[in-house]
Amino acid sequence: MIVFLQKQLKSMLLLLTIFVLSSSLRAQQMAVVVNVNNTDEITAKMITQIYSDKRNFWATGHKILLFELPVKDKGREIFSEALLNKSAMASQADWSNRYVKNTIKNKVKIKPQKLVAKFVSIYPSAIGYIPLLVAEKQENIKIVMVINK
Amino acid sequence: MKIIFYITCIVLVIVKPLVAKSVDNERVNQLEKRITELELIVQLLIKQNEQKSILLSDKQKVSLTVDKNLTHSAVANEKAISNLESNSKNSISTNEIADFSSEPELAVYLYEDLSEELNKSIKIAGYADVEYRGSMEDGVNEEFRMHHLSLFFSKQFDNDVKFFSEIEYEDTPKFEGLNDGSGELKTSTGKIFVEAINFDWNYSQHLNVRVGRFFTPAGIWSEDHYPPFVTTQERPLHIRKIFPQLVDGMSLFGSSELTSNHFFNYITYIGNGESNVSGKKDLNSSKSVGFKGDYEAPWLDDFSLGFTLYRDNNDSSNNNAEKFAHGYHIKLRQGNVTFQGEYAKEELSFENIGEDNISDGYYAQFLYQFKQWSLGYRYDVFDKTNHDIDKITRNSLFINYHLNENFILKGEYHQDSNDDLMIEDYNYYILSVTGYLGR
Repeated sequence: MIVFLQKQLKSMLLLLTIFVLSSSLRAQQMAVVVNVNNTDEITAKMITQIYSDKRNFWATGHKILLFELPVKDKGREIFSEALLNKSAMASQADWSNRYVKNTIKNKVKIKPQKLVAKFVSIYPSAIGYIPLLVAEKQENIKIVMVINK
Repeated sequence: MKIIFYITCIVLVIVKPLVAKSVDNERVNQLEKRITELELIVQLLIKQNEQKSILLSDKQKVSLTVDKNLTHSAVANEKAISNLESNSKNSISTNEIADFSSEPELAVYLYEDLSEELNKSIKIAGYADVEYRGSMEDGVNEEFRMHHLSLFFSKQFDNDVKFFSEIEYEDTPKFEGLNDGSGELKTSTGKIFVEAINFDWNYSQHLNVRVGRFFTPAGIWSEDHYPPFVTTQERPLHIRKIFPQLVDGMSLFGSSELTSNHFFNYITYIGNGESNVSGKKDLNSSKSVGFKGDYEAPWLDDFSLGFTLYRDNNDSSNNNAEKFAHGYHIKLRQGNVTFQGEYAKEELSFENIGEDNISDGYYAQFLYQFKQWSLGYRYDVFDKTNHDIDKITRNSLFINYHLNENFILKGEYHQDSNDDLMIEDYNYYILSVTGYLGR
C-alpha cells in the first residue's frame, strides 16, 4: 500500500514539474497582436519596419497606432531581440533619438501589458506585443505572430 | 431567595454592559457596512457623472481637472445620500451592480482621454553632458567642460500640425550687465543658441511641410549628432564645414514604398543659405536649395544608402562664391556590428578670383555593441582646400557604457595628423557623461 502511494506521489510530482515548466516556457512566448478588424497581411518584416518607424500606415491608409512595453519589461527585450535584433535599451534610445532629431514619423505609446492588450482590442489601427498568455485571454484582438524565446 | 437575588444583581451588573457592548459592536459593524456601501455608490456616481460629461462633450474631449472632480464629488455625494435615504434596505440596486462590470472599460477610456490631453500639452525634453578633456598639445591644460544643456519644446496641435524647438546652452553661458545704465556687459561667456524652431504639417506619409529653422538635411551626422545617441563627443572633421549647420527656410519631405519593403525617403528645401543673419536677415536675394535622398532596403538588419545635393549661387559666407556641394552616405547594421560612412565635397566658384576652391572630407566608422557596451573606431579625413597641405587625418578609438537607455559614459581618444608641417600633430582624449532628459 505504501509503495503504491509512493509511486502515485512520484508521478503526481512529475506531472506538477512538467506543468510548472511548461507554464514558465509559455510565459516566455510573446504575441504580436492587432485589432480583430485589421485586414492587413502582416509579415515579420512589416512588424520590424513599423517598430523602426519606417512604415507608418496600414494598407487602408490609416495611421498605425503603435504600442511598446516599458524597457524594463522582459517582453520588450524578447521582442526587440527577435524582431529588431537589438536590445530593448537600444530600441528605446532609437525612439528618443528620432524625437530629438525631429525625424520621428509615428508616435510610440509605452504602456504596461494589460493596457496594451486593452487598447489594441479597442483601436482598429493599433498594434502591440504582449505575452501569449495575456493575448489568449483578451477578446477582439488577433495574434499575427508568436515569438518563442 | 437572597442568593438568587444576588446572582441576578451580579448578572445585571456584569453581563448587561457586555451585552450592550456587543450591541454597540453590531451597530458599529452596521454603520461600517453602510459607509462602505456609501463609498461604493459615491464612486459609482462619480464615474457615471464623468461618463455623462464625456459623452455630452465627446467631440470636445473635456479635460479632467481637479476642480471638476471636486464638483463631481459634491454632486455625487448629494445623490448618494438621497439614494441611500430612499433605498435603505438595498443600498445598491441590481442595475448599479451590473454597471460595475463596465468600469474597466470606463477606466481605460478615462486613462486614454487623459493621455490625449497630455499629448496635446507642450512636451519638454532635453539633454546635458559634462566632459573632461586632456590633450598632448603644448600649453593646453586638462579641463572639465560643461559642454551642453539643450532643451526641447514640442507641441502637437490638431490638424496634424506640430511645433518643435531646441534651445542650446553651450559652455554654461553667463551674461552680466554693468548695472550703470550704459547697457554694456561686464561678463559674457558661453553661448545661447536657438538651434531649431519650426512648424510641421504632416499631410501624409508622402508629403509633409516644414517651415522655420532646422538642421541641414545632409548625410547622417548633420542631423544625427546628439551626444546621448552618438558614440563620440567630437564630430567627424568635415561635418558643418561643407554643408551648412542650419537652414532657415522651408522644406518638403516624405517617404514612399518603391516596391515591397523598399523605401525611398526624400527631403528638399529652400533657405537663406549661409548668408543668413540671426534668423532675421538674408544678405542677398539668392536662396540656397538642397535635396537629400535615402534608399532603405530590407537587407541586413539596417541598410540605408543616400545622397545629398546643395547649391547656393551667392554664398556670402564665402565671398559671394557660387557654391555647389554634394555628398554620399551609407549605414549598415547586422546584429551587433554597425558601419557608417559619409563623403562630401564642396566646390566654390569665385567670379572675381580666377581659381576655384574645392574641399572634401569623409569618414568610415565601425561600431561593435555588446550588451551595454559599445566599442568603435573611426577613420576621418578633411581637406580644406585643393592643396594637400591643409589635409587633416584623424584616427579615433572610443568606448561607451550605457547605464540605461538615457544615460551614457563615454571615453574617446583621437589622434590628429596634419599634412601642414607647420602644425604639430597631437593626440587628445575626452571622458564624458551624457544624459537624455526626456522620457
